[in-house]
Amino acid sequence: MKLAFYSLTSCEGCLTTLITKLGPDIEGLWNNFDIDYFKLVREPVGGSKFPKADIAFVEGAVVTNLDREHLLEIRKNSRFVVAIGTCASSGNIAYIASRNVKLGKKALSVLEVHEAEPLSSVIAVDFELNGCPVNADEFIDALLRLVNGLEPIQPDFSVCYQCKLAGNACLLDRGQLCLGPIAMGGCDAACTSVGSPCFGCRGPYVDADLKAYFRTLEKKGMKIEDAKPLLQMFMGKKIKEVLKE
Amino acid sequence: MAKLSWHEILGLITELQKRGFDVVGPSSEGGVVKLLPLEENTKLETNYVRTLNSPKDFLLPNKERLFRYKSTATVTSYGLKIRFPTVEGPCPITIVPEYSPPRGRIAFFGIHPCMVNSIRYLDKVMLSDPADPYYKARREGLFIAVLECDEGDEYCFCKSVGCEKVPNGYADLSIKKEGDGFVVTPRSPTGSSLLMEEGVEQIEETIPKMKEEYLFDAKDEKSIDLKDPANLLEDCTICSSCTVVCPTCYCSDIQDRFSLMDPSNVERIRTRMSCQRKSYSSIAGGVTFLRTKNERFKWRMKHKFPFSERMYGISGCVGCGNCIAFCPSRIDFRTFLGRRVA
Ligand code: SF4
Ligand code: SF4
Ligand code: SF4
Ligand code: SF4
Ligand code: SF4
Repeated sequence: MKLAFYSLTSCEGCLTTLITKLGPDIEGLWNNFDIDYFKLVREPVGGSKFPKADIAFVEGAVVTNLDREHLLEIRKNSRFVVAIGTCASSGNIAYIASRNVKLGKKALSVLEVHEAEPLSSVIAVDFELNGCPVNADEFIDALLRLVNGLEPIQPDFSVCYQCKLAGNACLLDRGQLCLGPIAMGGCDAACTSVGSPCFGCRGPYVDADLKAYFRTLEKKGMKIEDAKPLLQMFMGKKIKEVLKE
Repeated sequence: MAKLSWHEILGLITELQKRGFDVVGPSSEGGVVKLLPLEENTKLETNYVRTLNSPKDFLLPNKERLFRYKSTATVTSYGLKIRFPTVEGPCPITIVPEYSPPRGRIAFFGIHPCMVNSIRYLDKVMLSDPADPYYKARREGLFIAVLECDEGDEYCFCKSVGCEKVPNGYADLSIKKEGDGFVVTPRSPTGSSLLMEEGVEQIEETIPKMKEEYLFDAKDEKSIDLKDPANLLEDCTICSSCTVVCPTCYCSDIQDRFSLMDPSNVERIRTRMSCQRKSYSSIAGGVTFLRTKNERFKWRMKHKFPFSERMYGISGCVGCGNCIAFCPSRIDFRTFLGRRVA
């Protein structure tokens, strides 16, 4: 089975995370699959820059004209496209950041810089693995399910759910603004477990109830206005859709 | 009965450990009291009302490995292909489960009566025929030292659900705070041998003082169905915390875990599930039965009250108040199900 790992505009942190966090599994990945393209590790010399693949994993947001062109090529050459990481699934920080500045066109002659978009704004995406950065265990799980013709599973629980499983006292009770109640879990409450509030880096979770969340904040004496910039930080296009509802 | 100092109480814990028990008790960590394995650096806490986790986290641990099996993973020209029993029809003969029951005996030291009642409820569920072998193995030889509870907080209501006392046969020791010391009473032969005393004593249990008491009207499903929780749940974000911290919520999911390194080696684990999660009531084809938070909440209430009452003859809610105290939105179901009487 052929796999490919591509990178659009991003910090390349997701692919780096896969390399560093897979540990001994990286060998299994290499031995069991044909990987013709892995940004940072193996890039084809000559021939097509976008080899045919059964599953293409793509990190990064669509920001430049080249990103857009490459992504369309990737879609054409891949049976299954998986967005990896929050840049690819929601546009991440770049989504709101690129909308708050005047994008000058003068920077580079061949490169046009546009407002950042997630992959799903440009192509049909088959599955999204969220997280900033992506979670290596979820990646393996999704990959092996796909290999077996099963749909990968998206976490259907909030960060609070895992925060409570981890045995943490709630930060909201200490007056710290935490997005846990509406954020998609799957990270084992990585941030709240070390005392830092959740910024919702995996986007909103499937049953996220923003109205109830805002009411909860007000009940605790916090301001909705303070939550809005946090909501927009990582959740990108996804929160725009939820905010609309 | 013996009057023990703080130092002697710690001596009992050491003695239990010498006898091969994994001693678990309340301890403060990160600004909250939790049940933790009592080891050298874990200090026993005796001035507390509630613990964020509960005995279920030790008797029914999350991500417990049930067994390992060899799958028929093959690497073909198509790549890797793992054959699951569920996907490929009946279990191929090459799948040999390796099952090893959990070892080690657990001693809960210093838990309150509501939590002891939660163990009784879990026993009813997990030991009724057919018994869950993993639970049973952990449960065997369980030691319980109850710390009597003087007064609950505003979320406690054990008295309203009849869980303010320790059920028969559910205590080896009773510990009562008195001045700087503790009055310790043996309530089982194991308890007396630990105190180096003869015989078992009956005691007048302390009934915890309640800040609030309630009369619930939830004997049958209809009484719950007729109520509308929309107002109560306006602030509920369906985060599912309530079922995580509830000592009697036992729902689980089964998952297969595999590694890329050795794909033929599969681990089957039991993880937590919650009726507040979408997948709890989702079936093939994408249909979800409990769609709204109102429906999920009603289901939780029905399971805690009428369903449990009907199946086991006891309340599925022990009145610990955890689901209220640790709910980020403080959703309080008590006035929804009944009325406050004191
Ligand atoms: S700290 Fe955040 S994630 Fe944890 S329970 Fe509170 S709101 Fe939820
Ligand atoms: S706790 Fe929140 S911000 Fe932190 S990793 Fe998890 S989802 Fe992301
Ligand atoms: S009742 Fe509270 S803890 Fe339970 S799902 Fe709703 S907000 Fe979360
Ligand atoms: S339903 Fe709430 S009060 Fe009742 S046992 Fe569970 S956590 Fe405690
Ligand atoms: S159905 Fe819901 S309320 Fe009942 S045990 Fe399961 S998670 Fe708890």
